[in-house]
Parts: sequence; structure tokens; C-alpha cells
Amino acid sequence: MEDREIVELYWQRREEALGESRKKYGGLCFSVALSVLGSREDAEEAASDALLRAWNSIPPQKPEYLDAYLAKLSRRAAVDLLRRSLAGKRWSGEAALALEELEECVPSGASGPEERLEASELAALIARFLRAQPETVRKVFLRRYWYVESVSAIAEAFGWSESKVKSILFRTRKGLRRFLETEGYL
Amino acid sequence: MSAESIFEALGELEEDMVREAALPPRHAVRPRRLLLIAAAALLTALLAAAGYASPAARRFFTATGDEITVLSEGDRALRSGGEAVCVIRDGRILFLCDGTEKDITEECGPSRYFAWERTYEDGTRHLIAVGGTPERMGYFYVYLFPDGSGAFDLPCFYDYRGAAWVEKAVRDLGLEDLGISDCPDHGDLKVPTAAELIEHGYPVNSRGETYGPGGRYTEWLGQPDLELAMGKNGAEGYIRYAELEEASGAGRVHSPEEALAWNEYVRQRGPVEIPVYKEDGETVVDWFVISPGRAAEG
Repeated sequence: MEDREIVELYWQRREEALGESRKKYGGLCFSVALSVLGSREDAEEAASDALLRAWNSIPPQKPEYLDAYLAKLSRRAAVDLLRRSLAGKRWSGEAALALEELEECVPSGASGPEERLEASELAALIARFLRAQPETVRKVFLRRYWYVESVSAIAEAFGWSESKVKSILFRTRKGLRRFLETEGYL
Repeated sequence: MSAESIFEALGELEEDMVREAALPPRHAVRPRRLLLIAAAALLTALLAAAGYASPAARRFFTATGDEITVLSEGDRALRSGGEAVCVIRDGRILFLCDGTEKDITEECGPSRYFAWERTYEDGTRHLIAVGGTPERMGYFYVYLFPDGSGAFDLPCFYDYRGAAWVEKAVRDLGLEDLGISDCPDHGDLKVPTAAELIEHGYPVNSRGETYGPGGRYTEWLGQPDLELAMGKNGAEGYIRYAELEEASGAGRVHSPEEALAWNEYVRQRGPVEIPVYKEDGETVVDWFVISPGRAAEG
């Protein structure tokens, strides 16, 4: 079924929307959640939560790219699961490594509550930075820190050495930090 | 702001950007092995003197007489020899290959380049593209092997990254797959430009150490105390030449026999690492691996 047809099912409040979404993008939602959570059981919970969020948000949303929309919901659900878990789940595996790398993007001194930004504000800033980067750099950065792919997987996908991927990530992180500092987050 | 908040904020990016990242890279169909080339002249000379070459390594000579040892994928190509590809003299860009000095100034510019190519008996194709102005000249040197893999000389490119002539040359010469244009800038590392080097020589840090790219500039300015290099984790910085010499045995080898003995010692010792510093010569940003090569594994 085409994405626009699935979105139409949501708009018509027909529950087949969920089944069609699961059939077409269930794997994507699961893999995005798994990369963040590292646990199949938790990833399944997050993927299901993502479909529920889709049901609750469409309408009024009318996503142009349903795959990316569901992937976003799945990622968000995974992060929320980490936050609210009573068992004190922590970042692990590739996500923990990615998070550690992202520490380099935090501007110096930007750790107080007064520097707290809404996620959407920070996302807009990061988007502005990323859109100014070459497409390849943007893709590598997002594959690492959005999709939480390993460096070796990214290297294989692009046909590069791991050192090249690491080098691109290293400099982009530095560039993002400089950008955030320039925007006033010192 | 924290790393977690940045990670979460990434989740709010627009869907078109998220989707674009998941699409297959355009040039990923036939992977090419990209080998970085770093100047480690002394070590290479020792390896060459000792006849040290792993079955996986390739050794060949460039158009300027440099001997290049290209180690296995993921390792660096080492270059010995000090012949420059080109030189700036009296405000003119002179190309030095082919045993002559050719004035290529008019063929170069911000969006123009001079190209030189030669195919050697073993099928290796050497390409050199020089562009820019005498004040901001840069070049890149590409080695294309018969098996389809490639290597490029990175330091030469740093002087003019992102320039229009580079984009044009990469397109015209069909080198898009090598990713030359993707070479990152220096970030917050201080690296003197070609114009600054020509005008002022190597800069000096607070420890009194000179620092700079080395490579072809050693012909004009001598060896800097701290030479531009890339560490094992991809971070760029400077290695202290004295530490490289110490680790590679410079001054200890005075004959082929001593070179062989040193070579055997190095092989048994295994890889050593020396620090990669910021331009201050104190802040460590990465580690540079001096490897004995793969012969021991063979």
C-alpha cells in the first residue's frame, strides 16, 4: 500500500492504518528503537508505542514521508522509555558510544539550567548547521547520531575506511560545537 | 545543554533530512580502498633500506622520485624522498616533474587547474592537479592502481580545500569516488596556510617549537619541530619530529646491517604510539601509530 493511502486510513480513523504501518514499517521502527535501547524486548515496546503515537498524531499531522515520520516517533519512544524506566535503564552499546561522542558537541559552559533549550529550538539550530554541510557529511553524521549506526557499518555503506568516517565525524562534532558557541551557548 | 539533549534534539529534525540520511550513498556500489598518505620519511627510508615490505604492501616511485610504500587497507602510505611537485618562485608556480621546471601560473587559478598524468609499466596511474594562485596554491596527488583501488596525498590538499578548481578537477578527472572533496578542514587546530609559510616561515609556539605541514615545505623551510599528522582515531594534530625519530631509530642506523637489526627489533617490539598534539606541543589530541608493518604476520 502506498504511504499516502496509509495516511488516508489514519485520517479516516480506520484501524487498518496500524496494521498497514506495522506491515510496511514495523521493521524500521523496531531497528531504530533497537539501536537506541539495545534490548529486543524494549525495542518492541518502543516500536508499538510509536504506532500508537502515530495513531494519536495523525490527524492533524499529514506526514509527507511516512517512513521517516514513524522512525522519528520510534526514536522518540525509545528515548522516553530510557527516561521513565523504573529499572534505571541506561544507555548501552552503540548508543552509549554515540552519546559519549556527542559530549564533544556541548559548548563549554553550557551545562546550567539557564542554557536549557526546548528540543525543538535546539533541533532547529542543529538543522541549520547540518543543512550547511555537504550532503555526505550530513548523511554520515545522521547515520551515526540519529540512526546510531556503528562506524564500521557506515564505512561499509559508503565504501570508505573507518578512519575516514571517524575523521568526518570528529570534525563535524567540532564544527557543531563551534556553531553552537557562535549562536551564544558559551 | 548536554549530550543527551543534543541526541534528543536530533530526533526532532525534519523528516526530509532523516530520510535522506537513510538513502544509499550515491557512489557506494563499487567500494574503493582509500589509503591516506602521511609523510614519515625517515621510517620509510629505514624500511626501504632494510628491504622491508609486506606481501600486502606496494612500493613504487612517484613522478618526483619519491618512493611510496602503501600498506594494507586502513593503514597509511609512507613517502620517502623530498622532491617537490611544484614550487613558487618569484611569484610564479613552477611544476617540477618530468625533470624540468614548467611555468604553469597562467594555467592555474581559483577555478582553473593544471593536470599532469603518467601511467607506469605496472599499470599504476599517477595524477597530479595543481590549482590556485601563487599566494594560495594547492595540489593533490592521486595514485590509481590497476585493481581499481586508489590513494591520494592528503597534506597537499589542505592548502586549498573546497576551492572551485578542486571541485572541477575532481569532476573532470573522474575522481569523485575517492572522496577528495570530502576532506575536512582543520577545525580549531592552527595550521599555517601556504601564503603564511611563504611569507613568514613556520610559526613558533610558546615552547619555541616550529609547527607546520612539513612535506614539500621542508624543501624551502626545513623540518618543523612539530609536523602535521593524523592520529589513529582520525584527529588531526602535530607529531614531534624528535619523538618520531626516537621511535623509528634515527641516528642509530648507519649501515644496511644495522638497519636489518633495527628492523628485527622493531618487528619484535611491535607497534609504538607517539602523541599527536595541538599546535602548543602539549595538549594531546590523539596517538600516531608507528607500525612495523604486516611482514611479521606473513
